[in-house]
Amino acid sequence: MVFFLKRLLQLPVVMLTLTLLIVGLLQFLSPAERASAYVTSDAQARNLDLIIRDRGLDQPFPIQYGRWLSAALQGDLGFSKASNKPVTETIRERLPATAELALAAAFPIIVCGIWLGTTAALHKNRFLDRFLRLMATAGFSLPTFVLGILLLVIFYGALGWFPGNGNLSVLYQITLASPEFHRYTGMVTVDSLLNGQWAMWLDALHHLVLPALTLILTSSAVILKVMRAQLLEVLKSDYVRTARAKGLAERVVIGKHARRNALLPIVTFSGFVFIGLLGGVLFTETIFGYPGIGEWGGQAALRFDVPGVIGFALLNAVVVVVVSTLTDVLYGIVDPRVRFS
Amino acid sequence: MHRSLLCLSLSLSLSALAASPKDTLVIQGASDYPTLDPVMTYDTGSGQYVENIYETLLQYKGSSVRELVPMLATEYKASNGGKTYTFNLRQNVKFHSGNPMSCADAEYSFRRALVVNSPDSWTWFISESLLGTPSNANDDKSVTWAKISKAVDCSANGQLVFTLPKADPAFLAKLVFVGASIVDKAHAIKLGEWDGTEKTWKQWVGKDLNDSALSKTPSGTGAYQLVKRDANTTLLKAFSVYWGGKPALQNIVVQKVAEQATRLEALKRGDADLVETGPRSVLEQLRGVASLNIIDDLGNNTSSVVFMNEKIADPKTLGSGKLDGKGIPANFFADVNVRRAFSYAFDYSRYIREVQQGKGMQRTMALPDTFPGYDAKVRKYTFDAKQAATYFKRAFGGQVWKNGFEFTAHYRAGNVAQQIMLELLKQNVEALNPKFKLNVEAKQWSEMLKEAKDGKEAMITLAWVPDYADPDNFISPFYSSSGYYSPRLNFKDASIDAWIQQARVTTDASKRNRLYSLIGNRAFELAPFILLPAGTGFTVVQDNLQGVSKAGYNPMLSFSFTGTYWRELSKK
Amino acid sequence: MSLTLPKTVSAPSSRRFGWWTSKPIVRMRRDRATMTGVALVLAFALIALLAPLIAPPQGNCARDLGIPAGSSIYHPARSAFWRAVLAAPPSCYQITRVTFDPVPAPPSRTAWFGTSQGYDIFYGIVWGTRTMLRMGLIIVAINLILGTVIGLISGFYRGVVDLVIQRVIDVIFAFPGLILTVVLVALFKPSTGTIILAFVATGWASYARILRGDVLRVRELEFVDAARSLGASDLRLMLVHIVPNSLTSLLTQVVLDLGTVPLGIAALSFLGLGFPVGYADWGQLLNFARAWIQGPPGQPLAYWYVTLFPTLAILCFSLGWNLVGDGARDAFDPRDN
Repeated sequence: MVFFLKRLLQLPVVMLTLTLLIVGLLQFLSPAERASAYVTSDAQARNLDLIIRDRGLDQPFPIQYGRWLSAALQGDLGFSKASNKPVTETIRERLPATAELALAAAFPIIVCGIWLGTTAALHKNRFLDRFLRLMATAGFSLPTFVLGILLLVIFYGALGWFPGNGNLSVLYQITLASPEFHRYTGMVTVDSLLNGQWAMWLDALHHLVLPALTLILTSSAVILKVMRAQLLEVLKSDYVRTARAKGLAERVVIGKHARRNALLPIVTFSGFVFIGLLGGVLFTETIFGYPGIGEWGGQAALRFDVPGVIGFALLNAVVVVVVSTLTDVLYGIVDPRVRFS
Repeated sequence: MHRSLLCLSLSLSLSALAASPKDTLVIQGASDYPTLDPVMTYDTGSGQYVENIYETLLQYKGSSVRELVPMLATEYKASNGGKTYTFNLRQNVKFHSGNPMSCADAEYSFRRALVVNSPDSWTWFISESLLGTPSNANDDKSVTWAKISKAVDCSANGQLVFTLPKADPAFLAKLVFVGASIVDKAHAIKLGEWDGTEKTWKQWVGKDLNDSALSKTPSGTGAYQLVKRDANTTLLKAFSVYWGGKPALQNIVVQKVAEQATRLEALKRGDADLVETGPRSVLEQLRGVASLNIIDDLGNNTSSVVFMNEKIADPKTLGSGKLDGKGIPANFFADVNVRRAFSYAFDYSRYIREVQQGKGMQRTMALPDTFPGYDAKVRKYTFDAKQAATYFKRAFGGQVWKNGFEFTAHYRAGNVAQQIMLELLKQNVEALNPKFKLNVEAKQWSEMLKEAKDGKEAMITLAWVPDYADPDNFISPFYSSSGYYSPRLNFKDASIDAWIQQARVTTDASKRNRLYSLIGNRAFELAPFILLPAGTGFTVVQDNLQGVSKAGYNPMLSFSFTGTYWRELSKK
Repeated sequence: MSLTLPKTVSAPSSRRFGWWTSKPIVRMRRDRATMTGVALVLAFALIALLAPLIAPPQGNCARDLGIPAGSSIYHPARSAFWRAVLAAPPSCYQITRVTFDPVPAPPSRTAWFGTSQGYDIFYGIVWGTRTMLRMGLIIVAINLILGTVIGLISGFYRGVVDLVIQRVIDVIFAFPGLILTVVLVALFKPSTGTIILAFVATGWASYARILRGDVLRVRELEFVDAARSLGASDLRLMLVHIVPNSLTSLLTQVVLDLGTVPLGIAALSFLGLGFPVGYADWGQLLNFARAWIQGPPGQPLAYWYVTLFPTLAILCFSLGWNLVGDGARDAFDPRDN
């Protein structure tokens, strides 16, 4: 318990360093460059010097940071020019959608990864193993954006099986905006159920398919590879040999002894995959016009939107620390040998 | 497991993907917009909402950019030698909040614009007309409450009276700008915006109101009112008691979809009625789709040029700084022969053919051909390698031709049209003489901003989008030695400067046009920049969308998808 | 780091016998998949080396090499030939422009793989191989060296040094990797140097952490204690005893990472922060393809070449390194002895 408290206590330190790092990095920019978040057209640039002065972009680093920090400590993370909204509001508005997408993708990724990894390990160096590994390599060797557009063009454009943009159809967007519709969680798949809107729920699921599939195809490969390697390792271990020697059926050996042990590192890796998904959604969200945080983070970084970048990085830090702590807890539960020091 | 998955996916795909409903207009754009507060609206992204939520005193007549007709005003008259304008306002007009519109609202709107006049906003040009200065009270101490309240005032019988310090032929055109919309005074004050009094005005000077309370909860007189603006979707609905009658389309849904391929698929499938298509080359993918209507040859009101800086301020740009084949002197472009040579060395027709897919037109001036003051009879440069060589040989007493030169031209990163244009110029110039070296490189926007005003660039390409439909909005920035682009161009001609000043105070249209013709002809001789061919616009719409046509397309409106107001559209 | 799991570690293998006949290498040589990987990697290396012969220089590249118009480069007696092969001027990395028309043109005599955004896809892929290999090797090498040194210091000295280094790594891990890359590239303006910097800034940390774990494990082993009791210095201990034992696990990771460099660069191109437009780089070619994956109505595959060739290049490149990496991991696995 103390261990976990310690872990979580690290969070503020990490977050503070992170903000310093970002603000420090952005000090390399001249005030005019910093103004590029505010000025997007040539016409607006006519009063560049005044804009820089009025927005305080030429103030020294400690003053700018101090101003941001004192506001941040009161819960105001500033205004993001990339989303044209305050950072906290942007996160509240966009995080649920990304969480929904990442969760929808994470389970298939882990289940498929484990299953395919087992299959590959059991057929080691035979055709199926080679084929699966080739596919896995292809999956993560394809840039996400190419795969995303390919899926979009085929399943939305040509076949029309799944919708290709946003997280809801226009009709339900209008429902969503009506005052009778309560947004409990911000996740449309959950809220639609809580509001008893079955058709809307189906529609929301429907919209999740292509973006989630893109993530699944690009991310399952990692789990597959880890699972295969772990299972192969476990299969060589003494107790599997013992189990086999005892004359247990191969299915029992694999299912009961080997696989369970091989799953251990998967717990950790699932944590990584989830964290990786939050980073990888940038492309998926851009391609599918999905209203999540990934695209916002990318835009903020591109446009030197300082509060936006900091807000996104802080959010990411929280997720990373929480998820990795959670996986450690899970690890401890699954593996009795682990003791936390 | 497999079977259940299959069933699920089948049942999902059977819930047919409804194309956009009849009473709803679905639009997909590529980017977000900064504000819905008219006082900050200086970009077309925001403008396309603001022009439908709010209304201005005057509007363009159909697709014309020269003729104005009343909107929230019913009639107006100029007096006192063009220094006083009196507007009668429309009666029985209601805001979305239910408040009736009166002169007090109009007065408040214009005073608010003059008071705030944020440095990144459009308000500088209305301030220039009404107060004689583009700056706000923080930067120009001559701006006082007395001046502001005198410039915009309501008469005893409810007329709106503008009092100008001097006549301005562009004033009426400025009133059509989307930002000059009439806002709901009572509503704004209730939200905590400026209360309209002298007591508090100083607090609002220069404020960044992009995210103002009014931007979050707008209330205008326009045909559409905002329902919700969330991460990627903006939803608006028809205003049921709109003074012009309730519009045909009940809902407007604007989605942000950053990826071009995704938008095109949505358009092809009928899920979106209008999308931001991207460059003209995408028509290759859209021609022949039965459900789509491609409307081509639309007006283009931007002006693109290649700047040749006559006084390059950055020694790094100059290379060796001498005419030794490894650089250029700072005054390289100050020699008119060099400028003429470059103007002859650009292959205009190939640019139109390959880059603009045949849909382009060479203009005679840096002024759209639809604008008043444009003179089609002014001579223009054509691609002529012989002429170019002749002028290069004359430049700097033959030194340029003998020793050659090398410098770098920059374009804004990501702007393919600019890049290709410079590469084409490079190809043609380098073909003239193996000692000519023209490098073409990208520059990030942030970096361009930094260097733009310092005049460090030797050669850049820029496009100007007008604020209001008056020739001075083009002529001044491009040709005047005190104009907006002057620091990047360092071009100065006394007679052109004099003509520009004269035209700014001349209200007689034909006299004014003559002055602009003079400027055009003189500029041909001096070749201050290379005028790029103007590409014609196009738009792709669903076949059942009514109210959009080439004849009705007005390029001055922010909603460039149809060049109309949303209320003019309907679906069959 | 705080988890303690019983682990088995190999004893230091003897390095006396020849490298070529060492057991892992023999094992790799016998594995068909690994050899396919090696063949792919070698093929790319060959393409990179012979780029000027496969896709001959034109335009400014030929001008800067001093090749007179009309004559060819296939002449080893000319200095231009050797300059093109060994030290090509920057203009050679500019993809040949076939046309200014952005609409793709199908493969033809002038452009064997067609054109994308007016550029010759074939030239871009051939010369892009150089870019990809060079970037991959530089980035991974710097990451490896930085990661090794920092990981060693952290694991060997422990205490405060370790604590500080580990907290720094925590911060880097907590930072969304892609965003840091984007910030760095946008900040220092896209160029070869910045792209390398950005990938190194985010890349070394994971190597350092892997190595530190290994060091912690290895230094507890008997032979290290033995060496220490014999009076070996810290540096000698690290270089001779710890590094060789830890590097095996790192090297397979290095090989795998080499394959993903083009992906990272492609991601930057997607965001408009990659190499300058027209630079020979696969990521950029794929980015061009974004708008042209779908053809006109009725011919959905009309522009197949725009997507297919750069995708194949990236796939094969990644596949090659992956096969080699996987093979190496299996071959060096001590439990298979």
